[in-house]
Amino acid sequence: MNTTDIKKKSPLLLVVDDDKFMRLQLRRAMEQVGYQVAEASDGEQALAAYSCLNPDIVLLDALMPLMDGFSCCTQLQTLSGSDRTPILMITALEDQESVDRAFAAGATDYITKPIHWAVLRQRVQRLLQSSWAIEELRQQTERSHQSEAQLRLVLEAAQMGTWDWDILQNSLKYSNHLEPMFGLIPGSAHLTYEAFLNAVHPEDRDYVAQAVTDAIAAGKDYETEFRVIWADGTLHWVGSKGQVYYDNTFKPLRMVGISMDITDRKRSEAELQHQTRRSQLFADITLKIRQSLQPKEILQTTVTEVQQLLQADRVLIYRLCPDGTGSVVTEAVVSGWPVILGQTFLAEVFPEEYRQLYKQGRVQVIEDMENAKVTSCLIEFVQQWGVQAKLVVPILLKSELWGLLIAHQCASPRQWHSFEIELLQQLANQMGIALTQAQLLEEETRRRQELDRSNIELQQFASIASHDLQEPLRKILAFGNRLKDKYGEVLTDQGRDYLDRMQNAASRMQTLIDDLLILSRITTRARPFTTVNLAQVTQDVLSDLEVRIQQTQGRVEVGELPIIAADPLQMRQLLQNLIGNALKFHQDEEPPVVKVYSRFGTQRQPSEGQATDAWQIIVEDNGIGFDEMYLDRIFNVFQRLHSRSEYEGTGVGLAICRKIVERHGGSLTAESKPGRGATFTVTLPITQRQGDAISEGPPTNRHNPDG
Amino acid sequence: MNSPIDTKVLQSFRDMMGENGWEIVAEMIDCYLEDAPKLIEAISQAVAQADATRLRSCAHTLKSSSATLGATTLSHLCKELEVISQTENISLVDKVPQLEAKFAKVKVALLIRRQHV
Repeated sequence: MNTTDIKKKSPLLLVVDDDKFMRLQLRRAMEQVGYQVAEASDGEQALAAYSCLNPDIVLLDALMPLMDGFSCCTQLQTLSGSDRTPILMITALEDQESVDRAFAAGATDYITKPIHWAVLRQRVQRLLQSSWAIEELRQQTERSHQSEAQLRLVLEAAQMGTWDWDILQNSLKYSNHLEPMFGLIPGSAHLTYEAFLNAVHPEDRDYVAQAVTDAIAAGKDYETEFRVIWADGTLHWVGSKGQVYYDNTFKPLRMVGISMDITDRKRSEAELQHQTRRSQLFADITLKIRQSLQPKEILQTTVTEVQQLLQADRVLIYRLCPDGTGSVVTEAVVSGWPVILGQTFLAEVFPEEYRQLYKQGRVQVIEDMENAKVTSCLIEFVQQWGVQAKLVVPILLKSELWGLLIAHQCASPRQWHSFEIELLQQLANQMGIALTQAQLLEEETRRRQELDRSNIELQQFASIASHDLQEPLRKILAFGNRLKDKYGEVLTDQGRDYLDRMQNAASRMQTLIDDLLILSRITTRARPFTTVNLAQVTQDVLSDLEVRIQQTQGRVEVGELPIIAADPLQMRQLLQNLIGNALKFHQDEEPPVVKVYSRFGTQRQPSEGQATDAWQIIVEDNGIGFDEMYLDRIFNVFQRLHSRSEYEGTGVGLAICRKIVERHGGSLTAESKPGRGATFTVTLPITQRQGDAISEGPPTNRHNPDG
Repeated sequence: MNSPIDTKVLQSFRDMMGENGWEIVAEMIDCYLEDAPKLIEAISQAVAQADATRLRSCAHTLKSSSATLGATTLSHLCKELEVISQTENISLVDKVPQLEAKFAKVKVALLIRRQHV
């Protein structure tokens, strides 16, 4: 430090001298070179000034009245900060005794009178410099102590230990925290690199040594994780990081670093990996099991997958029958071990109490058959297949015990992991669900087949019956007519009346059979859909109904009607029945007015859920109407709301209508109130779905109600 | 040594003080001329009362300030007094008039110096 530095810092100098002349002299001399100067004329003043000014250095005259320089110096030592403030005593040149006393009183140095100014300035400067240097060092030491303490705190908090390897001496130093990581008692740290390496797990030793070599050779950071085996045989993980220090010639001198116990982290990582793998396996197997709806396939997939997953010697499914007997229905067994597949077992093998336990979800875990807490006969029983350990979980179908999923270990006893047991349980659950679904599907398929069969039988019956009934009926009608023509006159009035009644009945039966034939043939003799102009069809129908319209003095108003894809004959039948009904059920005093029109709307298919565009064909009348409570009835076969004497008809007409509409993918509804007319609405999809256009029965050239 | 003041000493003192050397020298002279008569008076009393400690202290102080300003002879005289205070019976000391006479010369010389400044 030069004087410029002193000026910059402008150190404060306390001059203690009883002689005013001396003080002035010292003040001016020191002020000239940049010091600030404070003065004290005796010891008391000096102590007071020192305490309140904290001078950087004290110039103390040895010889003063009252309190001399030595006492003052001694007392200055007791004040705070005095260890950092140099005290320069001014003594007489020839006075060796004073010099000794000065040092004894704690003076840092002395200077003799008469003062040699250059010497004074040099000495003051040196004293200050060394004082500052000491202070700096002290602060540095303090700081380093502080940061060391902080570092130690952090390392402790992080459960880290530090190590320091002197490469040249090959000596290793550990911090207190490091030894426990190696399972060592404090003070027994490895002394050399080789001792450390020996403590590393043999399988990890090579790569740890390689990491150290690499770090030294390439000057890169050393970072590795390795296992250590403690004296108690337990396995622990240590993570370590370090840095190499070199001299000017790149010769490695030291390697310094930290280590921490990462056993917990490693453990949870491993656990996480296991869990992920397990849930992946579970998902895979579940998918395979659930992909099939074939019970046999489900069982086979399960045993094969479980056998591979658990690496068990045998996995089987024991199917339980209601009478208590059971059999092995599926098996996956490692070759070399006995096959149990197909064997059946008597009810005694599996007593009711066991079945109850399994029904409640019990799992049987046997790790070693020899020491298992089960009856000796069971041990003998399973040992015939070489079983040494087993795992049994129930397969429940809707809380009924369907069977058991069993894993066998034959080569040796086996400790079953909790996750293996859990997995087996979960898979058994999945099997239960899959089997339930398969059963449901089976049942549903069977029912549908039965239903189809009975439907076909019924249709055949209706068709055959109607057809076969025609022949005798025609004969009755024909011979009735001949009887009337030829012998009518011979008969009495009563006889003719009987004959008329017989013929009426036969005619009605003829109509009835015709209608039934139509109904049964809507699907069996349907024709493919073609483009049908409903306006045209309506005109045809109206010309057929011309007589009835005239008879009733009625009127039919026809609005806009669309062109659609449909079975033309069935459309004609539909409109004929609806308009016919509208004319038929008119009020006594009021001629029928029937309106036929269409509008655009939507319909909701039960299978699709979303609304699709549809035509609505409406047939509206002003007739007698009906109570909507009978709405369900009117569309059923032979259901009539009125007696035959009131209104003619067979009660089949609306049933035919509905069946036709349904075949076209539509619906038929009605709204009415007694005496207020009725409105029938036919809703038909605008676009017919693929497949609807194909007739379900053999096509006929022409639909003929007479057969 | 005829001159009461060693001008070389005063010169080197001025040089040492640097830029404002002469101003400081003037200030020092003022201080000295103010203090020295009091010290001589105190020495005179100490001798009369045979107070060795006081004699020694005052002689010591006057010795060094005198030496500083180049009053070398006066300074030597003070040193003699200082030595006597430790060794001899001070009632026998008769150097005070000599001290006063020397100082009178020094004072004149210093005042002349002071005027040059």
